[in-house]
Amino acid sequence: MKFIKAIVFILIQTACFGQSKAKVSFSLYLADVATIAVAKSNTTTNFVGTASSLAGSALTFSSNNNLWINFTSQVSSGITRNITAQITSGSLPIGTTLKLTLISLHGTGSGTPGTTTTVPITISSSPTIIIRDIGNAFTATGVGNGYNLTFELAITDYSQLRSGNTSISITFTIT
Amino acid sequence: MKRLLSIFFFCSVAIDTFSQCTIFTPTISLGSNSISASPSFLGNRIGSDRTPELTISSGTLTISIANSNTCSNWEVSVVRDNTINTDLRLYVIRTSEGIGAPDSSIEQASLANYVEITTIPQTFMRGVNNRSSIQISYKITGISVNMDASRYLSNITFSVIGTP
Repeated sequence: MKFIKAIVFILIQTACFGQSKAKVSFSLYLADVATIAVAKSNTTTNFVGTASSLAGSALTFSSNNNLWINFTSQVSSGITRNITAQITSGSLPIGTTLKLTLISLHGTGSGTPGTTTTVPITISSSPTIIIRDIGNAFTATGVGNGYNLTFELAITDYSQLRSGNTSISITFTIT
Repeated sequence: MKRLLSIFFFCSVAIDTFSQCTIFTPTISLGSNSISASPSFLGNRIGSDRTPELTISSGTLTISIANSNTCSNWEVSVVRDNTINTDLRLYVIRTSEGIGAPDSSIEQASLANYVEITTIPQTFMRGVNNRSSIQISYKITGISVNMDASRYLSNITFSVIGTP
């Protein structure tokens, strides 16, 4: 009899002490992000042609590797981005070509920062892909983080070379 | 109908027989039924990761317990569904006592620590009698640029049960 009473009490307790629920929907929105910058406080790079004191030797330009590309990329599933470089103002001196070599990712960033080639890339007035297949990644900020850029100005045709100053602008775009 | 009447009858008899309390089924309500968050970045957006941790606090994030009484304990548990990205972890914490009669109370433990909201119900807080406008805050961790750009959704359920 006591056993039955206990069961009845448990059943009654369950029925009486019911449960009430309240729901809340949670939403976290991570938007697409594509930001890029060239790291160095002064992003003007000078190339000065110098001739050896030895008569008959070639004119040379020093290379420059002071610049770094920093970027953040956040993409939807299955999407990748590329970074292009192009001359967007001015023209290279006739008889010269500008080569860019990238050294792969340095620093404290993480993710899928894409790939580049070790072969020097010719920079022209048309966009040229310099880093491809970037996924979700960030490079960290400032000099020493991201991809290191080495510019080299090379002479392709001495016969067309003229003395003077020339300014150009190079634009890097992440798409 | 007969069944409902019989449950009501048994409840009445049980309460009269086994305690001095009247019948109660505590109810829970929320000040807001939706939470949305859009995390920013650590420092400059360029080259930076997203802020890995985000706290969501608002005057509308409240829980109220009603239909209780002075000799009725209640317990609130929290659970989420499994739709959200596994890198993200959700937490909830109680940040105020709420408002209630002098003979109502809330166990202090839930003020001190975040409770992780998982797919297994977790006890969030306990108390006695009606309390309203109990402030809560949420915390999300694991946010990163390395996650796909998307809207991450989850349903969180708070349940209250009366405890004898």
